[in-house]
Amino acid sequence: MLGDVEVEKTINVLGMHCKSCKILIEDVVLEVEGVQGVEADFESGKVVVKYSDENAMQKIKDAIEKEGYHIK
Amino acid sequence: MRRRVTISNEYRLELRGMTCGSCERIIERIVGRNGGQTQEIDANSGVVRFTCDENAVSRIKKEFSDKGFVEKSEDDLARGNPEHIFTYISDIVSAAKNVEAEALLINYSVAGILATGFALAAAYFLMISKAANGSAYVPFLFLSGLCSVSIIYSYNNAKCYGKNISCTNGMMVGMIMGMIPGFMVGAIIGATNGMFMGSVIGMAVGIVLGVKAGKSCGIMGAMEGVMAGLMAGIMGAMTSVMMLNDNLIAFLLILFAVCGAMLFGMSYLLHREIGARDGSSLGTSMAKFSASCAALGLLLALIMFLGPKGPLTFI
Repeated sequence: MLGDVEVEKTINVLGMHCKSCKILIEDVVLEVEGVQGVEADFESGKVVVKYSDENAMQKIKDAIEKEGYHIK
Repeated sequence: MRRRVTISNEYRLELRGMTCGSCERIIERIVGRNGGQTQEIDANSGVVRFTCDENAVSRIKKEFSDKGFVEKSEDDLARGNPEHIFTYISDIVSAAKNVEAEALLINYSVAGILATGFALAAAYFLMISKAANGSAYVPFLFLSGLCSVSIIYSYNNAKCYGKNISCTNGMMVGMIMGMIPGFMVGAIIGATNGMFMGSVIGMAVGIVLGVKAGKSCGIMGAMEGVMAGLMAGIMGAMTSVMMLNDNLIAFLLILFAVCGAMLFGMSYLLHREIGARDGSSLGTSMAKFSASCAALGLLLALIMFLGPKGPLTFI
């Protein structure tokens, strides 16, 4: 457990092409337990996530891939 | 034991802002999160049909609106009809409030026409008229002025919608802004300088504008701009070279009228799909707009007159 330590990581996502993709990705990531914040940018394909649960990263990736996007 | 009875109703909404599969997923997730079930969803028409508890519907609508999908108003439904293009034209002519950005651009265009006319007339009298066949350039100078002002108008019109342009509309914008300027410039330079110069300059103008206008919606719009610019630059030059001995000037006038209609169509498309823009969303001023028109017109005139000539040219 990371406890209360907040970690910020950037995920490179393939397949985002518009504002709605950004909203959708932010929406699914925010639902993952332990996620404190998320900011997606469809132009660069980068999704910056803040979380405090060490298991969250895999769940975040799974949630994004479930929507049809690919993680680089 | 008393049971709590909930009434599940079916609702049908027409939403503004849905454009692609991701939009549909966002809507589905909102409905599902609030205990409802989506029956039908269509990003093209904006129609969503779902069942949910009657207490949840206002919450669902609020979440739709928070994500940028609002119910179409009477005005939206009217604006969505292609037959309303005539209302759009009359709104522009009467400078109505809902077409503030377009009305302002028309004002700028008047200054742009004057500035371009002045720049091209100066180029003609100072340089071109002294050449043996100087007068042959006049119709092409006129066309390049026309082309410069309409290109700068449309580019600024597209830019004022910025990142609000959806994927599908952005592809259309990239395509139109790549194709129409590429075709017009390719046709002019193709006639005066031949196939090679016409293709190269037409492609360059088309690709640059197509990418710059299309990139608002990401890589898809930008790629569409590149493809359209590439194709139209070559096709414009090819058309002119193939028509050198067959009423070329008359054809170019017809071509430019069609191109103008296409650019106006893009303006209507943006207004219809995204909504009105106020004057402050324009990232240009009258001086900047006129200077851009004059600079583009002058650049075309210089290429026409000083650029290398191919074996088959009108002049």
